[in-house]
Amino acid sequence: MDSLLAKITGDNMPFGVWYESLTEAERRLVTKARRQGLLVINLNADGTNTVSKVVA
Amino acid sequence: MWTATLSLIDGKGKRGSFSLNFDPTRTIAQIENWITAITVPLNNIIKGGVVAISISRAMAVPVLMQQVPTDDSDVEEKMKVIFKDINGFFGSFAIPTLDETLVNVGSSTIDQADANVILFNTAIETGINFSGSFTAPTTNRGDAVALITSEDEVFTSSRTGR
Repeated sequence: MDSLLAKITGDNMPFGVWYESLTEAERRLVTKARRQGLLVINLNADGTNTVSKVVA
Repeated sequence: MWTATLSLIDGKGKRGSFSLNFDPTRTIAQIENWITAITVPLNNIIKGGVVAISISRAMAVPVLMQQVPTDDSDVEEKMKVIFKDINGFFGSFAIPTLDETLVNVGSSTIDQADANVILFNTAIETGINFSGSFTAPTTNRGDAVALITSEDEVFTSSRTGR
């Protein structure tokens, strides 16, 4: 989970760029991380999708 | 409550559809934006074509939403989504013309690590951001979806579309 979050290198990082950087094992943890509130995937009406890390 | 219905057709001319509910406080524009915003993940989940969308009235299929079915698309092949609302009640919907490449090998479950599945599920559970306001579907009871509990490939009967 830490490695997955470490690859979010800034606020509102493009989702596609981040997803492509993930390993298969990390990709399987994305939903769990989102549901645990560790990251936020933002889908926007204009079709852009971003990801941000939630800082405790 | 708003109900948005997406009608699909497969490569054999058969039709299927699925419906989603939205809170009555939402505007039609917000719901249309939500549907347009799921274009990319939906395109990669289905293999059929979306031929009509209604929200208690007709909505034009978004320009980039898949409209022409592939020859091997099949409305009898669906992705059944079961979810739990914030009060613990279960609901479901099934999307016709599932792209079977999303089905895990040796299983009927959908690949939860697929980018478009992740985005689609986020749109259901979290919603889509419109100027800081999140729009997401509700259950038939009008409650927010808390959690998608399962997504599986299912096969059901169809009706002839043309």
